[in-house]
Amino acid sequence: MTTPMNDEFAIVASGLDHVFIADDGKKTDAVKDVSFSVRRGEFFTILGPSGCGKSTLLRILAGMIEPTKGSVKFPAGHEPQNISMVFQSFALFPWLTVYKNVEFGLTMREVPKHDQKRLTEEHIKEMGLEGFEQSYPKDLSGGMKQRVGIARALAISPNILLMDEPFSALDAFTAENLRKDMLSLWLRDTITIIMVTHLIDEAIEMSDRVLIMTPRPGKVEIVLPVQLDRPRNKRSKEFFELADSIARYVKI
Amino acid sequence: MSHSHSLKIYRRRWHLVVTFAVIFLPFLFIFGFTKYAGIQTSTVFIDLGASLLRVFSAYAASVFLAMILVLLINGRRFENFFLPVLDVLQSFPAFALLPILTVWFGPGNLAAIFFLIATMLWPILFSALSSIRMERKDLEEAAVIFGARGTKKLISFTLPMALPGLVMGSIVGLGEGWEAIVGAEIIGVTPGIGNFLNTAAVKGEYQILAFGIIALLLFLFTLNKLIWLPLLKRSHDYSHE
Repeated sequence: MTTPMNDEFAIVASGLDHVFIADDGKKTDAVKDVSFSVRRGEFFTILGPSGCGKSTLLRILAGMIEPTKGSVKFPAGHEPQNISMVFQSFALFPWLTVYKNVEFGLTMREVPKHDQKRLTEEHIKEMGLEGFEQSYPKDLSGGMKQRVGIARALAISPNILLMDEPFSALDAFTAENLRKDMLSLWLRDTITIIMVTHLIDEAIEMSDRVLIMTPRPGKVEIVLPVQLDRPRNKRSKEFFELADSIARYVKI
Repeated sequence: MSHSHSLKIYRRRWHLVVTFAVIFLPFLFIFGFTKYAGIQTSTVFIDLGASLLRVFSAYAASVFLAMILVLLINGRRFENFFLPVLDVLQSFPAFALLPILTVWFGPGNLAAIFFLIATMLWPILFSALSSIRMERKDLEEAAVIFGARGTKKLISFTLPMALPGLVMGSIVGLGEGWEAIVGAEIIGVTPGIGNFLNTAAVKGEYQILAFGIIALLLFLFTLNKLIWLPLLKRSHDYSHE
């Protein structure tokens, strides 16, 4: 499958294979012949059961894993300056304060000092972390930790934000809250988001399109658009119907 | 900012009070017992100072060496080959090196320091390595995706990751170091606290021997209480998210 490269797309993945070799030499197709493209400014979700290769796929997009075959391309002239990531486990640096964690990407990129300060303070405020600047991650609740994770990811002004099951480690109330905040941020800033999740409701609530993955080997089952009006009513008939039809595609 | 914060552990008021009390304790004790036993106070301080100097120079060198080895080994392809080799070297008894070191350098400080490095390097190295190899792949992914590469990664990711292990290894290493230096000084490296104790034992001055042991104990307790315990607690806090 080939996809035309043009301005419309933020990222185009074609023919991605990733063979995982275990310590005992056994080979597993973690990702097999995966092709898709994500439009600029789109909220794109990769949905599938655990072990279907969706996290591996996300890491290939991030450039952290080299695919065995295939390529990830960005349209010419629209290469992202910054790809950012939010982790399921938060992955905050325990030796840094909230402030220093949020600032981390800016420091590494050697952004001018006064911009560092401005952007860090801005994103701390945006994620409601004021007053916690000097706290260490271990002193924060799960929800607050992920707020730091999101602030750190957004501080570098990414064109593409990758989110690896960002709400899975949180309790239902906290997760719901954070999803709403995330959505309003995405609606305000034009940023391309690619999220990995195993929750059908979460995928429908947030995304423009949902890619459903099947495990062993990790293949694309189907890519479905979500054409419900935003903000989405999770108790509406259409929502349930879509959830049912997605559930039929998800294989364990 | 983080620097001033890390110094705070030594600035708390109770810590200062304890510091002064505890620092004076060994000195007061040594002063008291030497006057009581009628020996020169300065000889005990010279002996203790000589031992301390050896242990700390060897410690500094060991930390330096361990960090270089950590950076060379960690994450490289030959890691799986190198670690078993280091494990074998580790189990080699350092005392077996003492005669040859004495032949090369004479029975002085240099021989003692090399001998101490052979003793102290291993706990520091292995402890630092294990805290880096801790199963936190996500932290490394985060470091890399936010732009930590090369030297930047080394300073802002690898070193802080290694720090808790370094502190832990330092405590174990210094313990083994004191054991080794006292042993070496009993065998023949002079001057030194081990030498002092041995002389007292040989001469049959058991009171001085007992006082010497208590003085050494007090001294080591002081070092632990003042420097390592707060550092250990803090590094433990920092290594948990």
